[in-house]
Amino acid sequence: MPKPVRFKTDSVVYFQGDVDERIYILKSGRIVLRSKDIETGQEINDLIQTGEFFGVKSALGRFPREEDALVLSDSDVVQFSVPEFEQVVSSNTRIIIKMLKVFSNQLRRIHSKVSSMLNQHDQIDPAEGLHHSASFYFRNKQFAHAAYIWRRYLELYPDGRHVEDARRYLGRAEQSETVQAHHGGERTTPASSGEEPRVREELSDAGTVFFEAESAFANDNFAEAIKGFQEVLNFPDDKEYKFKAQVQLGRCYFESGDTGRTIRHFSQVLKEIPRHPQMSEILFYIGSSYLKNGDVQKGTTFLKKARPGAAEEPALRRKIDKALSQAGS
Amino acid sequence: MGAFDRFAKKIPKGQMIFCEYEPGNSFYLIQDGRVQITKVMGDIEKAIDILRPGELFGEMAILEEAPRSASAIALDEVTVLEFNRANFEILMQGNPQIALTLLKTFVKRIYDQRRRFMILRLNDIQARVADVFLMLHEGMAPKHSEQDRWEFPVTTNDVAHWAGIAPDKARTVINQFVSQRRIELYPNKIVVQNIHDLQRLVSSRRRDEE
Repeated sequence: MPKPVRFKTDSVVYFQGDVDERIYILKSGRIVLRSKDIETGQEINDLIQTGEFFGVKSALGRFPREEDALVLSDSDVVQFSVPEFEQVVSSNTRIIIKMLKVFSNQLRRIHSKVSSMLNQHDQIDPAEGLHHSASFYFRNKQFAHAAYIWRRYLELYPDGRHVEDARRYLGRAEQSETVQAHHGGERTTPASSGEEPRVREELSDAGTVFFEAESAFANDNFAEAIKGFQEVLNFPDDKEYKFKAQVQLGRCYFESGDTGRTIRHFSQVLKEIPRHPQMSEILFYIGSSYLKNGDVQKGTTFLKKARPGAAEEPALRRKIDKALSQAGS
Repeated sequence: MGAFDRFAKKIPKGQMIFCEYEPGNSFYLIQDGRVQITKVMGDIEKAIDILRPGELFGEMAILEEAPRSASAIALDEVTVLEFNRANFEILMQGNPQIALTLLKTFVKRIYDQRRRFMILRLNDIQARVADVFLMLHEGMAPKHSEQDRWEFPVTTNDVAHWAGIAPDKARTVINQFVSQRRIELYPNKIVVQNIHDLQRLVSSRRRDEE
């Protein structure tokens, strides 16, 4: 039960550093909260208004008192335990909202002080931070997280320093994410607390090699990636990864600047599988290779062929349109 | 809670809810499932906390659209109530439990930030590093504990982060402490031999600086 208590002039309700979980409301009299400003060390005196709660923060947080509560003239207060306080304010949310406003102002002030002090040290630019996080998740094959962050990067920083990388890796992350989804759900690798076991995903051997190669590709290690994708092609019965590895292998050739080999590789793939599930992408890389070689006519022909099939793939469609506009079509 | 159904959002297991460094304009109350709070630090992803139903996260968004200080990832299929600055007061009025949870969260954040500020205010880098251990100790120790030796599951980089100094500077100070036999350094933990010794060091440096 809340308890009425009377304090005499010059007595103390509590001292700074005391640990107790009582909350008070001032009914009559004068009580002051005396503390030191943590920045300047100056003494601060806050006179409690009649009807005002005090001692709330330290009681709710179970922290030592941050100020002295000194009685300036005979005062009547009502003393609450934390559960009693919660019960009283729950029936009057207006009081909590008022406190929330006071506390949120205090939090904003202290937060901005801390931030400004940290600015002098190791603040990372948010755009760089996003790029770093996305790259981290990509390297660790958490493609859904990587894709989420790169999408946010492109929305937030459409002219940012890493836009090209973000577009390129987003495409790869989305593609790999789809593969993972088909493979029995998202790959989630909880962080290094050791508290949560990794969610194991039963990848086929082809899948394992494919993702190793993807990782090498993400790090621009094309020689290693090419080796991995070629290995996937040797797995006899894994069509899904075989198709993907064919495309990725061609992309490795393209990204490493070998346009002749890109054209030869993809032409061979189309001969072998005329209805390849990633036909548009293949045509895009053949077209882009011809453009790079200076053969604008052949390049645009292939790009135009690639376009209708990319209707459902906005990222690829954008790439095709961009290449076409650069070719002057 | 029925009145809040339109603010409810289901998040599939494993999905990122928000990412560190993106601007925050919503905050969340977990209704069902667990949410992991993580930070990518260099080449590792560090779990900061695992939150459960009834807990809030992303609440700094109420104050300002500052970049998120950590990422939130659904550990299970998660149901959250999503709030923003525009609707939060109306929502609080109808639900004292949420308002109380938010109040307690603010209280804790204010305390944590004040404590961090106290560390950052120290000019002496040795004292800053020592004060980080005192802060960690305050979070772990039962009141009036007389125990001297304490183990903290932190790395040099964590200490650097809390002390607001570059990792190589933190490493230098920690190595000094190691050579003075004040602490022992392990790959996943740091052991303080006598926490009271660090308390004395910090209070004397703080007095000198004041």
